[in-house]
Amino acid sequence: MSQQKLYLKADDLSKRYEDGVLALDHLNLEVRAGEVYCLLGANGAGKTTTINLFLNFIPPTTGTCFINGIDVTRDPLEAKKYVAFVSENVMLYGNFTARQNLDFFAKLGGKTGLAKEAYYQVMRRVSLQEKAFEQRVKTFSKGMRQKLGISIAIIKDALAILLDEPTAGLDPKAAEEFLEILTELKAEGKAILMSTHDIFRAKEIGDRVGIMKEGRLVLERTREELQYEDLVKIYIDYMKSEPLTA
Amino acid sequence: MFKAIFAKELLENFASRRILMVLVLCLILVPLGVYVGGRDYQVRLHAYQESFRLYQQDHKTVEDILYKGGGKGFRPPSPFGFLSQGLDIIVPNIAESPATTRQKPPIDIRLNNNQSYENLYASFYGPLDLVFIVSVIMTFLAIVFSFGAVSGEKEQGTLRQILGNSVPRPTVILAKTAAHFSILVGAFLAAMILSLLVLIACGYSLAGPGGVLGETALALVLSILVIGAFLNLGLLVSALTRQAVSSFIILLLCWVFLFGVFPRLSVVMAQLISPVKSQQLLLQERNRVRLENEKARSVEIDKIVESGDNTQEKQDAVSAEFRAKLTQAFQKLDREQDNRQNAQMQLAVHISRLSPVSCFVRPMAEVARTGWMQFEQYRQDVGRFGAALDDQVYGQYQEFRQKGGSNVGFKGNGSAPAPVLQAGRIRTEDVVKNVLPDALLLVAFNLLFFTGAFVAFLRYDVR
Repeated sequence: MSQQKLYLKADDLSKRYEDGVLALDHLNLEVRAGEVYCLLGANGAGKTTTINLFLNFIPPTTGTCFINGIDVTRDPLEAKKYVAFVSENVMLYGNFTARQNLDFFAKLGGKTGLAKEAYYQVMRRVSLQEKAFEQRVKTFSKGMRQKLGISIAIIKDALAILLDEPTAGLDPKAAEEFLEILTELKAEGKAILMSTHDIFRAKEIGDRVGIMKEGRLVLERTREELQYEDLVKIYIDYMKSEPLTA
Repeated sequence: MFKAIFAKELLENFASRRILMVLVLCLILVPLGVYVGGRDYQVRLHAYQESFRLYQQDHKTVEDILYKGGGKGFRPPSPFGFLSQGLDIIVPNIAESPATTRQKPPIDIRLNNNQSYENLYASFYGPLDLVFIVSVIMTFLAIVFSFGAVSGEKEQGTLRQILGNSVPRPTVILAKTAAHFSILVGAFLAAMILSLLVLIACGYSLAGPGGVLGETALALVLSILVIGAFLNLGLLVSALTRQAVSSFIILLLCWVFLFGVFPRLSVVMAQLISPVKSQQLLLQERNRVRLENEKARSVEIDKIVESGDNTQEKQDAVSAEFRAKLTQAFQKLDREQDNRQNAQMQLAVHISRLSPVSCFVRPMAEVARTGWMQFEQYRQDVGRFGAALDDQVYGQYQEFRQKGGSNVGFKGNGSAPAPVLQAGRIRTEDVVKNVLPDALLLVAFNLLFFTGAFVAFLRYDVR
């Protein structure tokens, strides 16, 4: 794995908000091509802050984020060319059809002049029902929205994908289908950073799993290491443990 | 990238049927307002022409004026009244001097306001002219269009999705502004083109003397500027708030204040800062001046009596001198009152300019020739007409009587025609000069609100 190209890197990344809350405390992580990194942690552990920093939605207090070797703070527009983002509640334009949403975000991702069929292919790939292609998104279930969200990431064909709790609220079948798509993307060489509460799926898909608590990455395990350990127990132990001192 | 966001905004507005709403409102209301205004002009023009014709039939010479009901001057209606009714409802349309064969000719021109309305109920709400449509409906639509432009996307989460891509923030806000502006202005332009066709069908000419194209173009520029100002204000508030509903409530309050409250408040503020004497007070002052004048005249007469050189001629001369002094004093009081009223009005105009609506409504009345400039022009026209009546009718009659003529034998200066009120025309260049400060202020409002929206969006927290 270490020979693979490094697409996502957090280097000593910290974020303290204006109200003094330290949301992220000296985070270091790397995600390489063809690797899925799962960030586990309770609410407020710093998972979404990490993703927000990679997307330059907020500036870091210290440290640097790199996407494909590009400093996100210095050149956010260049860096964001290489990353796609799927949030917990994929929010799309409800009055647009699935294809129209896909078309708009494809154009923002730099993919212009695509034929209708190209959009349909991507939507087929994520198992979105054919009849939904030209339906308004406001009628979609959460699972359908998530599929469309990942379609946007696929059509952008970015090197790295950031997923912010993508399986939250999905029924088991939809979540399973979602993970299958991620597995395919991983096989294509995408670097995937996924924040999640779902320990079981993190163990299932993650090449590496990091547990965050109070802004710190308190533990990191590889898939191999997790074969001999009970991730659920480790996670619960960490959550129950005393608060970390600054 | 700009193109993609611009097209998305258009498509989104199409999909939500907001464009349809704007188009329907514009394409119905604007031509309807113009049609009603155009028809009203034709009715009033006909009434004016008929009144003038009937008057001229009976008043061919100065003699006719003296013996057949006095002189009348008629104000023609403005062909641009469909743009704004302005002060038209309160400006008199007939200047009248009563017939008299008294020794002393009248110096006052009596003003009558005999404007008629087919349906008086309309007076409660005002006319459906372009000013109403733009200042109420179009500005409101501008707010409806823009309140969720940023905060709505923030709330939906789509802004996060957009900015997760390699999209510069300035491009996003510029494309949003351009798209919303294009929709509103596009619909309004389409409605104006339809309105021009309606005007042509009503018998108006576009170009040449009496053509409405120039004035309509001016009105269009002012309309676009005020629509733009409210659109940019909407974007500014939307970029400063995090929820579409908050944005809408704030904008609604802004709209009510800028449209309904502030222009009225500016008049009250001007009255407080620069008060004008009431008519009652002015009357008391005139009485005081009259009494003082009378007292001084009595003192002078007493002096003459005491001097022992008391002749009727001397007393008449003193009386004439004091009459002249009294007239001068009254004129001075009237001038001072006029100056105070003008100063108060100017102050109200300046204060009200803090609202884009005020920078639109008054200039539109000037463009439509129903504003303050037209009122002043009419006062001048009436003044000239009064002077002509004094000079050619009553003055000559007085001279005739002084020479021993009988009160029914006056024939005037041979067969001299009766003086006619000549309605002065306000040139378009003068209107442009007058409305330019307001137009520039509207440009400034646009720039200010857009810059605010731009900066707020660049600093917007998309988390």
